[in-house]
Amino acid sequence: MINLNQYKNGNVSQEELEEFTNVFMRAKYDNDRKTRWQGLLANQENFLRNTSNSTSKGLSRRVFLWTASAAAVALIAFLLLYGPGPSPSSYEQLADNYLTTEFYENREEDDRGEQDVEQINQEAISAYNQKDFSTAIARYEAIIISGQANDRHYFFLGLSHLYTAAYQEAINHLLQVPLLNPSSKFMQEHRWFLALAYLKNNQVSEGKTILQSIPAGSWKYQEAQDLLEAIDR
Amino acid sequence: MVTVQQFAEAFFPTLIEQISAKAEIALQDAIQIGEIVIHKLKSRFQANKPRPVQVFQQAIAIIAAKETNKYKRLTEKNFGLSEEAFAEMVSKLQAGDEGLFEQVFITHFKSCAALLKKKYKASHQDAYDATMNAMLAFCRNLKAGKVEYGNLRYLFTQMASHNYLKWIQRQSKTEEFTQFEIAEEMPHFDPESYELLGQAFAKLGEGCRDLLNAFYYNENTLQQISEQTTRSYVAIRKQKQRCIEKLRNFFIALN
Repeated sequence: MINLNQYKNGNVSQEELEEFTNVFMRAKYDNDRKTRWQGLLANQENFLRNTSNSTSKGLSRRVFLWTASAAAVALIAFLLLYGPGPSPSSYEQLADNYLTTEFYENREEDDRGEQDVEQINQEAISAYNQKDFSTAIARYEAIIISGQANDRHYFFLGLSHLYTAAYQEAINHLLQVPLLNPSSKFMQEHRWFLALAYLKNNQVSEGKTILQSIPAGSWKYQEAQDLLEAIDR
Repeated sequence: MVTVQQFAEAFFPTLIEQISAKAEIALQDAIQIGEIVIHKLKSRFQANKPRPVQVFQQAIAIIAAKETNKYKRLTEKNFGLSEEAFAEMVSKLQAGDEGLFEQVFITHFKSCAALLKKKYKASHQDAYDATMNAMLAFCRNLKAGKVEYGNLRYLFTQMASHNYLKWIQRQSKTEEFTQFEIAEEMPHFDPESYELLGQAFAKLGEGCRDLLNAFYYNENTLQQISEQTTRSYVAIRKQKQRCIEKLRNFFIALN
């Protein structure tokens, strides 16, 4: 290819002229773009090719972050030592104890339905019993999306959310259980766990109402009474 | 108790509103996501079997969350552009309007340069230059229709990384003899020559300026220009020859 001097002075063929003009014009346009983009980067993003400003900014930012981190650690330590917290006998703590000390196992084995849903269900049960709740949630959600979910799927999906402290989600799913099957075999469990979910979600009156509805002598009756006592204390 | 069809019809406006407002997605894109969600919902429930409304609400909430996340992941990979917005950006670029392209890429320039600094321990200036060259190359490739929607972020950072590594490779071979500048990877002339070329260009008539702009700036082919102007390819090719000769004459006169 010819050079700039030949372009300015020499005899060049049409082909050489086209080739050089192509390179020269595109280089000029690229140069124009670079100049414009450098301006935009400087004005809109405060981002310069020259780093002297950004270095000092970076340093002051680092100092700020270190100071902020140290202050945050000190604040957390102070709150842990002197800050308010739930007393060990509070209903919240009690509900927590019930959730953390006893795990409600999924003993379903004879689920019926289409084969793929059955397989997803088995995976959901297995994940749930291994306390891999994120997998269990994904599997139960897949069953719901398939349109073949029943009360049991909603019940264990609700429990999976409850054990991962997603209380509102747990409530939403547990509420579906009696709607789908008013004579669900999980009704007493549903009542108990829904009450716990309400308490953990700071919906105390809803939780209390459900606890009061647990009949004497039935499953978790004594625990329900303990919770009611803690709520009224 | 309602059928999936009844539920879908009644719930569609609410669904769009929720996708648009909660996920902060543009209305046009929210409608597209909503249509996919409804389609998936309908395909998973028997059309004529009534069920409690809550069942459909639960299912649609899950499908909508999944589809919205899918959309967000895709747009995140593409600098926040939906497929339609990407097509609009390319179309504008090809017509000479680089505004949207600049808006998108300038916003992500810094993070790309930061990646080069972190990944390759590049100096600030080297990372800046490599990213700038990648942006130029990207602009050119988009105009030529060589870039497809999918993962623009990855392509852009790959291009910048490639620029930087290529430069490092060349520099290590030649560092005893010369100092390379990444910015000089492309053909480079002195600023005065660019200035004179700009002045020579300004002296051309409107017809020549439009033609050379379309060819060199917008990167249109002569065939495309012929179609746009409804003039024959041969006529356009001959006009371009005359224009570049005039341009050279003006340039020589200015020197």
